[in-house]
Amino acid sequence: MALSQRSITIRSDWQNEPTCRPVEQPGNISTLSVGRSAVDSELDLSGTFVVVPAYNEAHMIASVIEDLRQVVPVTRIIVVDDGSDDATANIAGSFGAITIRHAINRGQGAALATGIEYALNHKSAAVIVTFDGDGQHQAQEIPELVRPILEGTTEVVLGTRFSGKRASGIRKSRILTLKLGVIFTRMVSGIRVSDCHNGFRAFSRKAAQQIRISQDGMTHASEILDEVMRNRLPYLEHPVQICYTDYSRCKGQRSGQAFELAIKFLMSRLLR
Amino acid sequence: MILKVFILLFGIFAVSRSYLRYKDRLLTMTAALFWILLWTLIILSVMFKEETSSLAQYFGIGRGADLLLFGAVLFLSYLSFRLYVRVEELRQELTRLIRALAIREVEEDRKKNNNRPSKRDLPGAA
Repeated sequence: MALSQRSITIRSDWQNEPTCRPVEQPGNISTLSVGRSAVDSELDLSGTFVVVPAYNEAHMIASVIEDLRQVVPVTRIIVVDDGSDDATANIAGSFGAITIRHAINRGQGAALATGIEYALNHKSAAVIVTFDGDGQHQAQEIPELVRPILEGTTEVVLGTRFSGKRASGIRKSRILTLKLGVIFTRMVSGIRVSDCHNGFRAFSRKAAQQIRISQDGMTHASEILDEVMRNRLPYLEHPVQICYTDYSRCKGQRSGQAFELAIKFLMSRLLR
Repeated sequence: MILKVFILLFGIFAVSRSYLRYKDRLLTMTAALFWILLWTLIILSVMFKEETSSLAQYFGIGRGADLLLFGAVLFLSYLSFRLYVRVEELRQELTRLIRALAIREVEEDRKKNNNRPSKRDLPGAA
């Protein structure tokens, strides 16, 4: 009881927060619908599945799905509720999104792997996009993200917040940690990327089948890059906008966790 | 002398624990034998100090107690590695189990709801 009361208090706090998501403002929806038809005529997104890992995202998941379904059919949105204590799964289900529920919390990596495995069960799944459930990513960027895969020029597209578009509201400490992460990833995996912990990515069916995510927690981000290199999958980076809010910063990783993640990742590599 | 008695008593206690855990089927026979042998060895090396010291000198280590410590650190490192691997295996097995259950549940729901109108088709769902 005490727990649910607490979550209600938190939720009301977040609702008052200013946001940079255009879709949450009703006036912008029609503009986006026009954008959608323009996108549809150019790109066929019917084979694009979006996997959204979500843990206690009841206050954000509705707007994330609302945002996503301007771009992809709702039956292609897979929300993986990673053992949330709140109504994340119910809300996602009420929007018609495919909702997979982990009985207990297993971490974002595990949730992503579940969503990808389920998407691959659909023969129509040609592209699988991973998209954070905390509202940091912009759904209208999906068409441009998946375009190189649909055009057959690459197998993996990695979103980057450090090339072109600026991440709004990002803290300097976070930039520093992410940059150190880039150097670490380059040394360990040998992959040259400008952003190593961006949850906005797109995989071709072939890439999704080859990439094995065994790290349940946040180390999966480094593991994915490692797998891209190991399987010699062609990849490219695409600038995406990450919208930081007090909410996403609170939900996201702390910079202090970076060292722990690096150790965990190195250990997992030693054991492989 | 006090330390000798203490190690002796603790050793006997550890041997009895290993045997009891084997009887409870929490340890396999090999594992139980291993633990019993290890503790017997520790008890013996404490009881026969001179003999272990000469064995230690053979290996180029000063005292029997040092040899024991050296071996213990090596053994504990190996043991924690084994435990780490085992925990990792269990974690991955658990995740696979949770994943299989979650996917099975959603597949069953999909089959059940196949003939019903989808929630998103209902008015006011969005």
